[in-house]
Amino acid sequence: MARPFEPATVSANHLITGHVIYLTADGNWTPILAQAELITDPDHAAARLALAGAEPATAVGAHLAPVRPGQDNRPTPAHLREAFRAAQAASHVAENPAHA
Amino acid sequence: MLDTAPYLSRRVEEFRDQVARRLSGSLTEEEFRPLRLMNGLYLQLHAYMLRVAIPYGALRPDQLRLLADLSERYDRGYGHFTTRQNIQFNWPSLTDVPDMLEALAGVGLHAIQSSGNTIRNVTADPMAGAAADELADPRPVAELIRIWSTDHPEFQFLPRKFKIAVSGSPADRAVTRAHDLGLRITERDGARGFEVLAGGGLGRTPAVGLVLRDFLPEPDLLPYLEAVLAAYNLAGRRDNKYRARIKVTLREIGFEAFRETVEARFAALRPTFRGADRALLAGLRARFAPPKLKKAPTAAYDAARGADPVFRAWVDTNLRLHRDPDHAIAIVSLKPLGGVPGDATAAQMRAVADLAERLGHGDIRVGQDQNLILPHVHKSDLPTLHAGLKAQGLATANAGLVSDIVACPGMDYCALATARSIPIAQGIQTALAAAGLDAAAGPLAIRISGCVNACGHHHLGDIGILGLDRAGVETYQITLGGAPGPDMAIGSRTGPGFAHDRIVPAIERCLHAYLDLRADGEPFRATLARLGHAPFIAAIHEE
Repeated sequence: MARPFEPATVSANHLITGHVIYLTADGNWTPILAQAELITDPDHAAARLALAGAEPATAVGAHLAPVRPGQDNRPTPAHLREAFRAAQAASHVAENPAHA
Repeated sequence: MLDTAPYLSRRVEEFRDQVARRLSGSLTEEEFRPLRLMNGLYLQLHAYMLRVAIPYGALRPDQLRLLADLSERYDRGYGHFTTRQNIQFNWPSLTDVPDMLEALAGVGLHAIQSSGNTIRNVTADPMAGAAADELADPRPVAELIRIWSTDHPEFQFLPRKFKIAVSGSPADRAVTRAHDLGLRITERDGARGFEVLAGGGLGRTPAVGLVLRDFLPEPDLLPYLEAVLAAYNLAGRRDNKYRARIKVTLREIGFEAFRETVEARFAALRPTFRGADRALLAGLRARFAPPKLKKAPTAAYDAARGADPVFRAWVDTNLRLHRDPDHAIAIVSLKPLGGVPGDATAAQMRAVADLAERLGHGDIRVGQDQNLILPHVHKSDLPTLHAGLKAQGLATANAGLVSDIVACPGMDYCALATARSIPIAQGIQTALAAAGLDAAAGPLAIRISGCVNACGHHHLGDIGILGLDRAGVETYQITLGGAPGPDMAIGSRTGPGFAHDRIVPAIERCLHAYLDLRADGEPFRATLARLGHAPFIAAIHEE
C-alpha cells in the first residue's frame, strides 16, 4: 500500500546566494518558511515541483521538504534538518545571535 | 620555483566563464555542479561553501591575511579550519567566488582538488621542520606530490577521492595510517626512503592502513605513486560510491594481488621517470631550508614563567619540543570556552599573521586538530606572543586537553550531516569547565562527527562521539579507545546512543569514572587499557 502523502513545501537553495528558499502559493520564492505554500496533495506537489524545476535561474535542488501545519495552517518544520534550514543560520548562532 | 600564476589565472577565468554560463542558463545545474566542485565550491545546508586547500597546512602571513580579507569581504568575518588542514568559507555568494579565487591565486592558493574524485590536498605533520623528534622534514615531499598530482590528467576521475599524508616523525602526527596512502619517511642502510601504507581511512568503514612497501627508496617515489594510483584507477569500483575507496578495493581484490599489480606497473613506469622529479625535489629542499634561528638569552622567558601563572599554564600546555632547545613550537588554540572548534575571525587571523611575522619566521601551520601552530618561536619571545594571542582570545591553555575538542561542522552547516556537532562540543566544554574537569583530566582527546563520514575523526578519539539521525531525533553514539599516531586504533562502541540532551552528562560520567579509576598520573588510554571498557561503559550508561 502506498504511503499517505505527508504535508510538504517546495524548497530549494537560491542560485546566487545559496540560501534556503521556499515556493509560495503565488509562485514566488521566499526565505521564510511560514510564507511558503503548504502542500497536502501529491498531484499538486508534482505540479509545484515542476514549476520550481522550470526556474533554474533562481532555484537549485528543488525538493519537497516535510512540514506540519502550524498556526493559521502555516507550514512548520517536520524534521530537524528542515528546522535548521528554516532558521537560515547555524543553530548556535540562531539561538544566540551574539555569536554571529 | 615553479611559477603557478599563469595556470591559476587560466583556471580562475575558466571558472568565471562557467559561472557566467550557469547564470545565463547555458549550463544546467547538472552540468555546472561537477565544474564548481572541481573548484572546491559546495552547496551546503544554508549556503555555498568554498573549501580552500592549504598545502600540507603551511601558510605564510600574507596568505593568512588574504584569508582574513576574504572572510570579511565575501563571508561573515570568519573562516573554519578543518581536520584536513584546509579552511572553509561558509557563506560566499556564487557570483563572488571567481573574485575570491582570483585573490587566492594572487598569493599562490587555490581550491582545486579540494573536492571531487581526485587526489586531494596533501597533508603532513603540522610541526614539520621544527619538531625535536623529526627524522626529516616531510614538506618537500608533500610539495612534490602536490605538484605532481595537481591537474594530473590520468587522475581527475578516480573511482573516489584519494587522500595522501606524509610524516617525517615516528610520532606520526600526520596520521598516515588513516589515509588512502600514507608515507612515513625512514632510512635504510643510510639511504632515505619511505614506508608506504595503503588502505587506511575513517568514514563509515574505518580501516587502519597496511604496509604496501616497507621501504621505497626516495628516488622511486613518484613512479611508485603513479603505479598505485593507476592500479586503483583500474581496480576501484565505479558502481557503488560507498565501496569505491581504496580500502574497499584492497579488501575485495586482495592486498597481495593489488601489490603485485602495483609492482608490475611500477616496473614499467620507473624507466620513464628520468630525473626531473628528483631534480625538482632537490630544489624544493632548498625552498624548505630551516629558518635562521635566533640566538639570544632565554632569561625573560624563565622570569615570565615564574611570575605569571596564566603564562605558565599556557607554556605547560600549548608548547611542544622544538629541535632547538631555545625555541618552542607554539599551539594557538582555536578552542576557546564555548567557541566553535576551528573557527577564527578575520581579526584573529590577522593577529596570528602579524605575530608569526614578528616572532615566528613568518611560518604558520594548520593542525589536524583544528588549531594553528607557530613552529619556530624563540623562548624569549614567548611572553610577547602569549600577550598578543591573549588580546585576541587565542591563548586558551588547552592544547591536547579534554576541552581541545575536534568537531566537524555537523548539521549546522553540512548537507551530509545527520546531527549537530558544534553544540555538543560547546556543551561538553562548558560542563567540564563548570565541574573543573578540564585540567584534572589531563591529555585526553574528544572528537565529534556529525555523520558516518567521520570528518571529526571520532574513530580516533580517546572518547569519540558520532551523531546520527534516529527517526528524526539526533542521537549520539560514544566510542572509546581510539588513537591516532603510529599505533593508530579505532575506537569501539559502548552501546546504545544518547539523545541530544543526554550526551553531555554521559561524557561527564565517563570522565568522572576515569578520575576515580586512574592510577596516579595515568593517562585515559592507559587506564582504559588496564581496566578494559566495562567500568567506563557502566558509568556512561548509569543514568
